[in-house]
Amino acid sequence: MTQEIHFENENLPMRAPEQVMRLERMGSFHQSRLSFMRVLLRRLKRENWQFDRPRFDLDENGVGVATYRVKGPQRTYTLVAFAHDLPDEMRSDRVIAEAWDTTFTLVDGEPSEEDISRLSQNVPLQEAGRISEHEFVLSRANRSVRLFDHVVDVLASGKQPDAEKIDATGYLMRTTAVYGSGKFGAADRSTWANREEFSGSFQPELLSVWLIRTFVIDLVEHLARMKGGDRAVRLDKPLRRRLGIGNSTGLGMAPFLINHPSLIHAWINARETALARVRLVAKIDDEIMQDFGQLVERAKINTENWSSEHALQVKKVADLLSDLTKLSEILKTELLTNPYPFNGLYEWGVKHLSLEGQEQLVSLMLEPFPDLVDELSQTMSADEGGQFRINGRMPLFELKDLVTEFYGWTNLIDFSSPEAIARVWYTSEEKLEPRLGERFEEPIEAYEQPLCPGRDARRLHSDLRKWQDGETVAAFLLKHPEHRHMVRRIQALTSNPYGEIRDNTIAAEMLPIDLLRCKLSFFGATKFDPRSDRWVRITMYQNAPYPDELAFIDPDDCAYPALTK
Amino acid sequence: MSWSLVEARALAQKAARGAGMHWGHAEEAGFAATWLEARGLSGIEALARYLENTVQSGGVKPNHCPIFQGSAISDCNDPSLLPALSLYQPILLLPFIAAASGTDTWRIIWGDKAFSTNASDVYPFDRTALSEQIESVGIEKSEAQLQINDCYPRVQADRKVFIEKLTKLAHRTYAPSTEESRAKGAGGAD
Repeated sequence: MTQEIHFENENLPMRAPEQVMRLERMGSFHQSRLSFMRVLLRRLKRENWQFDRPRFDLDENGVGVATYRVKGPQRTYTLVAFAHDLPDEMRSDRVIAEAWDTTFTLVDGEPSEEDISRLSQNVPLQEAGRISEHEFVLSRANRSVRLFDHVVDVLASGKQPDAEKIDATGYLMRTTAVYGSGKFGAADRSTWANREEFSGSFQPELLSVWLIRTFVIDLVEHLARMKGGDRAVRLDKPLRRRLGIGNSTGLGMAPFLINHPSLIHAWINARETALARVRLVAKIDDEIMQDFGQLVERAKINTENWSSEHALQVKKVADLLSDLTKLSEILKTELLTNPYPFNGLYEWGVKHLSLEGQEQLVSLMLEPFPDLVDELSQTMSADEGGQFRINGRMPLFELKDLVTEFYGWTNLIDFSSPEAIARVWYTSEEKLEPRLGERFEEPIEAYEQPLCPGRDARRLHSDLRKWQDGETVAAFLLKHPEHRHMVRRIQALTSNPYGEIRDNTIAAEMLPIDLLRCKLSFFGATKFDPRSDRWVRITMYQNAPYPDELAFIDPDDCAYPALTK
Repeated sequence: MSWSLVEARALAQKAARGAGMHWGHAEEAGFAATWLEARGLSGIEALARYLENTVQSGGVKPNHCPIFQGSAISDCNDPSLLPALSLYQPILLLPFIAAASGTDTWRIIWGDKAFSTNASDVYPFDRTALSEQIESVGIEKSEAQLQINDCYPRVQADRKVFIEKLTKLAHRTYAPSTEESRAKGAGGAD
C-alpha cells in the first residue's frame, strides 16, 4: 500500500461543529475504525492476550457460575457470570426489571472463592446489590425468546441451526444494562483510567460484553448437551460468529451525551480529525482503490441485512441502500484517480447522498487508512474534572461572545412557543431512570433536569444583556446563581467545540433515538433497530472473532460482512 | 461496604438539588463533599447535616451557605475575598479555598477549630470538625508545612447513615411515577 500524504495538523479541513453536531446527522452515524469495540479487539490481538475459563459450574438447568479469565501483558481480569432460572413471564428489557437470565461482573484480577461468594449475593440483584472497588463492571442479559430455545433444541438433536434463523435475530442474548465507572459501588474510573489497556472510552464495559458473548455460546452448548446427551453437537464456528450480543438501549443513555461535553468532543474530534486526514491523502494506489470498492459492496450487504419495522428507520435504510448503489456507480468513474481522491469523493457525497449515506461514507473512508486513523483512538477520553472550575474573572463581554459562538443557532428558535419547550427531561421515582415527559400534559416541570442547554443559554443571554461588558462573571453569578451550570458549560466548550449539540433537546419533534444512535455508533454497533422514537435495539460484536479465534482472524476485517463468492 | 467517589458525588449533587440549590451550586456541593472524603474528612456528613438544616430552615440562605460562598471564592480565585460571614458547616469551604489557593497555604479558623489547606491537601486530619450552628469564619495566609494525609479513594462504610440522608434528599428530585409516564417509558421484551 502506498499513499502520499500532505497534512499539517493546524490546516486540517475539519467540518464545523455547527455542521456535525446536529441531531439528524448524529442520528446517522455509523461504526468506524475508531469505535470502541474495534479499538478493544485490535489491542487484545496486537498484545496477544490469553483467555481461559477457570470455572464452569452449571447444573442441568444451566444454573450456576462460570468465570472467564483474560491475561494481558500487565494485568489479568475475570468476568464472573451467574446463570439463573428465570420464568418467561419475568423476562423484561426494561431497566425496571428485577430478575434476569444471566448477571455479570468484571473483576480486577482473579476472584477468590470468598469474592465469588460475596458477588453471588450481590451481582444477581444488580442495582439492588453492591459491588466493590475490585470490580469494574456490572451487567445482565436476557435470552432472545425467539432464538435461544431453538438453538438449544437443534444442537441437542445433533443438527446445526439455520443461518437464516440466526441472522433474523442476530443474538442469543441481549444485555439490558452495562454499568461501569463507579456505579453501584464499582471502582471509580480514576482507578483504572491510566491503565494502558483501558485508554480510550468504555473499554472495561466492552471487554465484559465480548466475554459475555462467549459465555452465552458456552451456556447454549451446555444446555444442548444436558438435553441431547451424546447426540448433542457444538455450534459450527462460522455460524457462531454470526451471533453477537443484542442490546436494548433506552432513554437512560440519552442524557449522557449532554452531560459529558468534553468527552463527546473527544470522540467527535477524533473522528473528524480522521476524516480530515483522509481527505488530505493526495493520491492512492490501485490496491486501495480496489479494496475500497469491495468495502462499499460489503457495506451494501450489511445494509441489505438491516431490517427494522420503524418507519423512520425503514426509510433511512432504503436511502442508505440507494446511496451505496450511487457510491458503487461513482467508483466506476475516474473520480478516485484524481488528486486528493477521498476529498473529491467526500464532496461528491455531500452533494448526492442522504445524511445516512454521507456518514456511512465517512466511516468507510477511514477503513483503508489504519496508519492515519487508529492512533486517534488514544485521544477519545477526557479529564472532565479539569474543566470544572469557573473562571469568574472573565469579563462579561467575553462570556457574551461565547454564548453567541456556541449558541447562535438558538436565535432561530422561539422558546416562548409550546412546541419549542414541549418536552421535559426528568428522573422517575419508580426506578430512577431518565424519562422524557410532556411539559403541558404531565405534572413534571418541577423535576426538570438541566438537559436543555439551548434554552438555558437563551435565558442566560437574556440576563447578560442587562449587565455591562466590563463586569465579571463572578459578580454576575453572585446575583444569578441559576445560570451557574450554563456558565460552567460554556467556559468548558471553549476547548471542546464539538461538545455541544446544536439542536433543541426539548423540542416537540426531537427524536431521542438520534442521541442513542450517535453513542452506540461510537461503541461499534451495527444495524440500529429503533423500536420507538425512544429506544433502540442493536447487536454488538456480530461477525467478530471469539477469544479462541482472535489469534488468526483480523477483527477489523469483520466490521462488514464478507463478499459472497 | 463502601461507596465510589463518583457515585457519592452524583448522590451529593442530587441531594443538594433536592434541598433547593440551583444546579450549578448542586454540582459544587458534589465536588466539595467528595474532595473532603478523598482526604479522609467528613464531607458527606457535613453536607448531609447542612442540607437537612437547609430544608428545615426554609431553604438556602446565601450568606450562611458554605457552598455559595465557597463557589464565589473559587470563581474569584482569591481566598482573601471571603466575606466576614457566619456559615453552616464551614469545613465545606475547604475544597474551594484549596482550589483558589494557587501556590499559597491558607489557614481557616472557626470556633476552636483551625485547618490549613493548599491546592492539594488539608491539615490537620480531624474528622470531628462538624458544627451544629453557624460559625463565624476567619481566614489568613499561613506558612505551615502541610503533612500529606492518607488518600481515601472510597467513601468509607461509616458514612452509611449520611449516605442514607443524602439519598432521601435526592429523592426530592424524582418525579412520582404515573401510568402515563410508565407507558411512555423506554422498552419492553420481545
